Amino acid sequence: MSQTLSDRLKRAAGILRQCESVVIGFSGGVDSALVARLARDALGAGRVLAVTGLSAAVPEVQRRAARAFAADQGIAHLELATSELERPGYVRNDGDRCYHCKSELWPTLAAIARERGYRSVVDGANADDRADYRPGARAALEHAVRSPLAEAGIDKAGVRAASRTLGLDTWDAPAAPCLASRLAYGVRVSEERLAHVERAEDGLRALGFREFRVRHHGDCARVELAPPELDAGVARAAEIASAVRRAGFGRVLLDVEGYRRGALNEALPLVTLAAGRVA
Amino acid sequence: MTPGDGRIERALALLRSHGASIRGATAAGAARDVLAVHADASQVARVRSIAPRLRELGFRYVAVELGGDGQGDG
Repeated sequence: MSQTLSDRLKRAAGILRQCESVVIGFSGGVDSALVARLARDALGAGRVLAVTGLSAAVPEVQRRAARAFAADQGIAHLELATSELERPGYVRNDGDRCYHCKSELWPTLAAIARERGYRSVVDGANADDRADYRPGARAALEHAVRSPLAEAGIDKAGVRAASRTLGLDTWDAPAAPCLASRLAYGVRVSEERLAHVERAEDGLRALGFREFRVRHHGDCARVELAPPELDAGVARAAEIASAVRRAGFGRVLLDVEGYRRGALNEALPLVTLAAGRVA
Repeated sequence: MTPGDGRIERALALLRSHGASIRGATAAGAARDVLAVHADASQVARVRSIAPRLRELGFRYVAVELGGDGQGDG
């Protein structure tokens, strides 16, 4: 681990100590897992509560990962149902869907923090997130949520390097944003569509693929495989098609360029123009 | 083929001029921003080689249809 990263980790630990005690918005992914570990080390397990919001947008595989990590690290973990699917702005799924989701999550966590005597709410946003399109960050600001990794200047590569050094199993875990991120902007979010995506991705995982997305475009599934896995995908195209159809899709497409982070964000200007005619 | 969509005719011409063995193409997705090429999966690499030029025709994504008739409802 570089001296720069080491210094930044010390800075993140300092931020957490300023917080005194923390509720963590905890998905079980690589970022929030590192924050949970740093918080435990900086504050002691008794001053840390990891909270996972549960809805149809959170796949079971992620729920299991969150539970396992918290148990392994000796961190108190709470799961609670969230109601973002009852928010029209979230269901509409335009460019600020994440804002509406986090506007549901952060007040809920703030209330838990107040009730249980924790001083601060923190998230796992890293320095790279600040350069990406992240409307959810606006909700974090509105609710005074701290972002120790981002504030300390730790980017995704730094998160992975630090996690590896600390022996966290999450260090090389694929990025795992919520299932709603698979729905093309303008395609309304529903439990049924989220379930189709979850089942389809479970099917691809069962076939041995590791990093991929099943994008829901309303009338079809567009499968993005990580470029190193694309050749294998071509060879197993029939199995992919079968798995995705079994999940509930009538039409399956294989993206020829493969998985790229935030690919659906490429469509935001088009959605603005077409908002009146999408499903 | 999507009737009246000139992007599709141009995409088909471009694909065939590069030797791709294809059966057709449609504009897929609620926003009609996915070019769905009807071809065997073996054509993926060839389609990928010209994907940037296909996107320049007005598509955000370029994909190969995996079986079926391309008329499903998601």
